[in-house]
Amino acid sequence: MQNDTLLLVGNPNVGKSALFGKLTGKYVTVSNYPGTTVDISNGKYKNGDIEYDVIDSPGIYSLLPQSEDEIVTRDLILEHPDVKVVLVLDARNLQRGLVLAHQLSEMKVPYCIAMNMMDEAVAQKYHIDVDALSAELGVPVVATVATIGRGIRELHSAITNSAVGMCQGECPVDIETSAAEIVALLGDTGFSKHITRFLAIGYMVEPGSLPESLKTRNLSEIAIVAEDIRRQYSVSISSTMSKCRQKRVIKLLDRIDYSAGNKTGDFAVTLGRLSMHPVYGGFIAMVVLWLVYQFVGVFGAGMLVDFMESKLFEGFLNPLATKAAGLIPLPAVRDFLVGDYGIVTMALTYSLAIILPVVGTFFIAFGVLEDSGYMPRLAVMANKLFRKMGLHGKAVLPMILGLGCDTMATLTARIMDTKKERILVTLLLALGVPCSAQLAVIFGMLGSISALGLVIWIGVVSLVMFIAGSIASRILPGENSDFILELPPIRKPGIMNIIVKTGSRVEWYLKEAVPLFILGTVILFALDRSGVLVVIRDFAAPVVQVFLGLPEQATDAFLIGFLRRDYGAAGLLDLQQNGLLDGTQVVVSLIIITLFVPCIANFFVMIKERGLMVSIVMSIFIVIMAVSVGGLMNFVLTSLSVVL
Amino acid sequence: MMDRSRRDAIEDLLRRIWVEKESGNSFSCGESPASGNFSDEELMADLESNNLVSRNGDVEKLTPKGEEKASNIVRRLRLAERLYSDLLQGVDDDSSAKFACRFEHILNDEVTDSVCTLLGHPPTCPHGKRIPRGSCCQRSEKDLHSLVKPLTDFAPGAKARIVFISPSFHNRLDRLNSFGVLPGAEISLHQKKPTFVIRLGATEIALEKEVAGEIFAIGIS
Repeated sequence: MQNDTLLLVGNPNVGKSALFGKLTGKYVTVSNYPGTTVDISNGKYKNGDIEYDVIDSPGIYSLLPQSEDEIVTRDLILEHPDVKVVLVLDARNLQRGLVLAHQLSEMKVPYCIAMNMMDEAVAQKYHIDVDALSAELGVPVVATVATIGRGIRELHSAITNSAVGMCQGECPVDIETSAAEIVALLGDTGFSKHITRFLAIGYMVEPGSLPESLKTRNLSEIAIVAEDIRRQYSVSISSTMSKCRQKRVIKLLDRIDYSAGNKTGDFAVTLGRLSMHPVYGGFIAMVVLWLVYQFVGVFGAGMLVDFMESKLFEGFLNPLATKAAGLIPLPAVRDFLVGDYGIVTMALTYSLAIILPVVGTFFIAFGVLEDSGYMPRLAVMANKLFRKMGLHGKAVLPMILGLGCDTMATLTARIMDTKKERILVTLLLALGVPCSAQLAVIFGMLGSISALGLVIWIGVVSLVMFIAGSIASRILPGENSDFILELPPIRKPGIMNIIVKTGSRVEWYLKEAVPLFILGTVILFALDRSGVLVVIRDFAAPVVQVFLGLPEQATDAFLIGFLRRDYGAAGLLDLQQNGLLDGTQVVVSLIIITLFVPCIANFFVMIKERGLMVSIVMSIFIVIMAVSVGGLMNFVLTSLSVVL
Repeated sequence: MMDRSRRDAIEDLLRRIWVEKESGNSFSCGESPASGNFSDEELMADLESNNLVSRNGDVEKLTPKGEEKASNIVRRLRLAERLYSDLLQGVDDDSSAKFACRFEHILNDEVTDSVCTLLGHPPTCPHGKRIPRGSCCQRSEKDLHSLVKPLTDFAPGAKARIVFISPSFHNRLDRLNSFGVLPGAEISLHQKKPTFVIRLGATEIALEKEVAGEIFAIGIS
C-alpha cells in the first residue's frame, strides 16, 4: 500500500469541505496549522491501491500569498513533494477560480479539477463545457455536486489521472528577468525550479511570504532586485501579475465558450437584497434580533434555566451532593465542595444549570444565522455604526456572539484583519457587551423601575462604548483594515451543519470554559477562607458608599461580579428586593456592573489571546472607566433629582 | 521652423532620457537604438543648445526645463496608451504602442488635459507605469465629459466595466484583486447605501464608499 498526500484547494465558499467529507467519510481531525490560527482538516481516503492523507486547506484567492491562509495553503504544497491537488471550483465563478489553476500549472503541481455546484449552474443556465476546459488545461475536469455526492465516482479516476497543467505565457519580461535573478541568488532551495521561480515572484509581491527555510539566503541582495522592479511599477507587482493572469483566463473562457447564466429573481436573492436595504434591512434586522431574543432570552434563559436550576440542581442534585458531602469529616473540604463558594453548589450549578442552557440556545440561534448567510448582510447594515467605534462591519459577529458569551466572543475576535482591531474588539466586549446570563438579571431589575431607567442604562453603556472605541482606535498603534466582504448567497440553513457547529461549540464550552469557572470558584473560596475578601471589602467600601452613593453591601456584588458576571447582578437584585436600592441606585449600580471587568473566564481567554500585559492594562482601564462613569451618573442623577 | 521628423526624434530622445531616469538608470548616448534618421549625439547637441539637457562627463542630465518638457511627453504617450486600451478596446500591447507613438506627437497641452479628464485622470498606463500628473489632475476636474468615473458616481443598478483602480494603499488593491475586482472586470452596482454592494459574476461583494471611490469604471449597457 502506498501513502500519498491529496490537498483540496479552492476559493472560499465553493464546497471544499463538503467534498472533503464525501471523500474521507467521518474520521476527520481539525487542528491548528502550527504557529497560526488557521484551521486545517485531515482525513484518509482510499483510491484503488493508494491510501491518501487528505488535507482540506482554507479558502484562498491566490497562491502568491498575501494572507496567512494563503501562506498556509502554499506551504502545504511545498511540504509535500508528492502532493496531488484537487482544485475545487464554483461552476458559476470560474474566472476567479481558474486563476488558481493557472498558478498550479506554473508550479507544475499535478492536479485535477472538481467543477462543483454544477446543479445550481445548470439551473441558472450557465454554459460550461467541462471537456473543452479539460482539453485546454490538460488536466482531468469532473462536474460534481458535492453536497449530494454526485460526480464523486468520476472524481476517483480523475484523481488517479491528475496531471501537470499546460500553461502558456508568463509574466511581463522584466518581472521574469528579476525573478530569474532572485532564483539565482536563492541557489539550491530543495524545491523544483518551477516552484522556486514561483517563490521568487511571491517574494516580489510580498517579501514576508518567503518560506522560513529560505530567509537566510542573500536576503539583502534579493531585496535590492525586488525593490528595483517594484519601483518600475507604480501599481503593485501583484496587481500587474493578477491582471495578466486574469487576461489569460478570460481568453481561455472565451475559447471554451463559457457564458454566465441569467439570474432568476428567486426568493432567496430577493430576501438577500432586502436584508441590505437601508430601510427594510433595518426592519429585518430588528425582527431577527427579536426572534433570537425570544429563543435565547425567553426559552433558554427563562424556561430551560428554570428547569435546570430550580428543578434539577437545587431541587435534586445539590441536596444529594450536600448529603454525600456530609459523610466527609473535614468541614473545610465539605465547604470546598458544597459551601457558599463550593465547586458543586457554585461552579457546577452556575456553569451547567444557568449558563449552559443560555449559551446552548444562543449557539443554535447563532448557527442558524451563520449558515443562512445572514451574518455578512448584518455586517453590511452595521458597518457605519461600528466605524464610529474604530471598527468595521465584520465586528458585528463577535459583538453579537458576546451577547451570548463574552468569553467565546473574545476568541472569535480573530476574524478581524489587523491586530489593532482584535484588541479593540476584545476591549469593547469586556467593557460594554453584557452576556446573556447578565442580561436576564439586568432586564429583571430595570423592569421594576420606570422605563427611563432602561433608556439611561442603554444610552450610557452605548455612549461609553462609542467614546472608548473611538479614543482607543486613535491611541492604539497599528492599522485599521478596509471593509471588503464577500456575501455568500442566502440559503436555507442545513440542519446537519447547525447540529455539528452547535455540538462543537458546546463541546468547547464544556472543555474550556467550565474548568475556568471551577478555577474562579476555587480562587473565591481561597479569598474568603483567608480573610482577604473582607480586607478588599473594607478597602473598597468608602468608594462605593461616598463616591457611588450605594449601600456597603453592593461591594460584595461587584467583587463577586468578577468571578460570576451575573452573580454580581443577582447580588444587586437581592439588595433591590430588600428595599436597599432606590431607582437611581439601581441604574448606577447596573451601569457599573455592566461596564465592570468581565468574568474570570473571559479574563483568562483575554490573556491567552492578547497576552498578559495587554489584558492587565485593559482591565485597569475598564475598572477606572466603570467607577468614574458610575460616580458621574450618581452625581448627575442626584443633582438633577431624577426620580426613577 | 524645424522639420517635423527632427522634432519628433528630439521628443523621443527626451522621453527615453526621462524613462531611464524613472527606472533608476543614467542615460548615455548610443546605448539604445537611435531615433530614426538622426544620431543621438546630433540630437543631444540640439537639446543642450536649447538648455534642456546638461552634460556632466559622460552622463546626460535633464535641466528643470527639460524635465518639464520630457514629463509632458511621457504623459501624452501614456495617456494615449490608456485612451487606446480603455476606450477603443485595443486588444494587444503591440497595436496599442504603435497607436500611442503616433498619437503622442499630435496632442497639444489642452487636448491632453481633455483626454486625461475624459479618462478620469488615470494614475498609471496600461503597463502599470506612472502617468505624470497634469494641471487638470491637481484640480481633479470632474465634469460631465468624464466617461471614466469612480463607482460612487454611478447610480444603483448600473452596469460598468472597471478601467482602473487608484488605491490609497497597496494592500487595498491586492484585496480587491483577489476578489477579481480588476481592470477589465464587468460589474453591476446593486446599492450604495448603507454600504456599496457590487456583483461580479456570481459573487456579491460589499465594500465601503471610500474604497468604491477609488474604483474607476466606464458605463456599459
